[in-house]
Amino acid sequence: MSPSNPFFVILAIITVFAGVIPLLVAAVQVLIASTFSLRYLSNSKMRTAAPVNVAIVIPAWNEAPVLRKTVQQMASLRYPKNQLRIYLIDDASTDETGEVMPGLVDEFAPQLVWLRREKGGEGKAHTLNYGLSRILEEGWAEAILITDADVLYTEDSLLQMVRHFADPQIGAVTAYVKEGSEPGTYLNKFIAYEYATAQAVSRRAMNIVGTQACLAGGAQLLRVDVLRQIGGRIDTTTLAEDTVTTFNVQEAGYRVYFEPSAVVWAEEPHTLKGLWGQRLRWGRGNVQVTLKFKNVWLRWWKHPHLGSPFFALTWFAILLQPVLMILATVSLVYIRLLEDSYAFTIFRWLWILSGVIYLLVIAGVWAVDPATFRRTWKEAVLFPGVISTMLIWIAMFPGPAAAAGDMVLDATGMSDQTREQWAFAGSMFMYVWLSVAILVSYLAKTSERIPYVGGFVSRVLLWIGGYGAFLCSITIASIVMHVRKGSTHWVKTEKSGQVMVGGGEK
Amino acid sequence: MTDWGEEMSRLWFRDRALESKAAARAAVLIFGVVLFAVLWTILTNFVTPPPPSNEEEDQLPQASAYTSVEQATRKVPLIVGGERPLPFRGGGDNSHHKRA
Repeated sequence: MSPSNPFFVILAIITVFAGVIPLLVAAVQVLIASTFSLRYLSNSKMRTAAPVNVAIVIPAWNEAPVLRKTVQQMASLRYPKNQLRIYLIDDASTDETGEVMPGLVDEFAPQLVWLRREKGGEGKAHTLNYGLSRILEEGWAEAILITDADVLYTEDSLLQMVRHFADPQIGAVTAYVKEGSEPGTYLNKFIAYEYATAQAVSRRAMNIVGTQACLAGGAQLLRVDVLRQIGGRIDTTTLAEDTVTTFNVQEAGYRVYFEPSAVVWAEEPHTLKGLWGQRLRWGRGNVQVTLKFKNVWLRWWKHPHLGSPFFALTWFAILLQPVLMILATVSLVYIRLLEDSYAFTIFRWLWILSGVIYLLVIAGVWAVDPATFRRTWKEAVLFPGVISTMLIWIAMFPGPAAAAGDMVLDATGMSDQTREQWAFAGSMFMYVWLSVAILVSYLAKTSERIPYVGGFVSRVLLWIGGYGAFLCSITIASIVMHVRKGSTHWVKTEKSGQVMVGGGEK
Repeated sequence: MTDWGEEMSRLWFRDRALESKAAARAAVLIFGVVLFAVLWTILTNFVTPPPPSNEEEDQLPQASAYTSVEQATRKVPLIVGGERPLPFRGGGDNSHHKRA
């Protein structure tokens, strides 16, 4: 068959538009999320919730600088004191944890319990299991809140989470983790905006759909009876123990709920290198979870929560986004070289769709979290990168763009032949940009190492390539590392203790 | 902490008020996106720029007064290129143009 066979052309067109599937899923989520408020307003069951004994579990491996603040914050939560215990699980820390903790135990006893492992550094799941075995043995707790040592809870957040246990179908509740670095870097604002889209918007939508992909690692409230049903332990076979817990709870027939009003603040990485390490762990964990639950996907008759087609679509849209983007680029170039007559029309509609959804998501963040929108609106605009944003506007308004392009070319006074060559090069550049952006944003991370100017260069490259493309480059790296069977050693995200309730929104 | 029941009620009413505001903003969002889509469709499909002067018409006989998306598309020199007849100088097979 020749390359111009209609079958190949139609396949290429379909592949180009498949590149927009992840964005279409995001658009559907925004629209579903906008109905969440109505559902929330009609749910009065929460008012009838009874108090339960809650054990807060804080795993800590060399977290001495943040322990005092975290424990103080937890102890001051608005919750009946006799129904709240804090278990700090010291993962054989080698820093000053051993010096800080005795003073804290004296101050907060009997509410604060300090458990120390002899051997540490195996990862969060192992540390949690050490504490959970003790808590389950005691039999006092009715619910367990798994968190991180650097996460700060707002004073009502635990109450807001616990009240959902008035519904016996809800087995676990998660909160809205917001980026709270103070002072933060430009990167922290990108992360803040990303969290608003991935949690405040997406998880609201998934509340309506009925399936959650992940309990936030720093805010997992579990019923003890449900935890016992899923084995009484946290999974240690993957790098995404929180996602496995989420899947297991839903597999056991319970719902997982996202409470958007319960806000907790976390310090996120300040550099691209730090972010890369954290997200690579998440990405590899997600690949492992995908395979671990391979018998669940699209089997809604057996697994009503996790097997739903929409959940599969949301999950795989994110996991396969870079693959879809690269395939879309290849197909677009193929069409451009073969059938120029309609290549631009396809290109244009691809970017128009992207542009409309981009605006819809920005508006969605404004609707559900105006405080984050006010803090991060510049990062929201720059999220796809400067060039992608320009392409969106060119696609939407080609007339003015053409006039501007003509003006620039006229000013150069180049010959018609040169002009023709530039036109071809320009069009090819725009057609391949979808994939080139991933490479540019990856270079942003590597350029951080350049002495003196590394910070500036990496920031500029991230603005050009886009934060979204950077996340895609991490997904590619996680898939590649999984295929090459790279090390699954737990890499801790470095924290400095620069986190405040309210973060940069104050 | 005050009475548990009172706390539950307080939170319930406070969060309800917050969600009511979110619902109102979501309604504005949907209206805004629909409005944008309608305006964009009108701007790119139905708005006709003023007719060209005689001099301009001599130079670019098909370059202005585009009345459809397809025609507007043809005005993008950097993007299209290639073999298609283009209404700007230097792009593709434009031998039908009367050069200045």
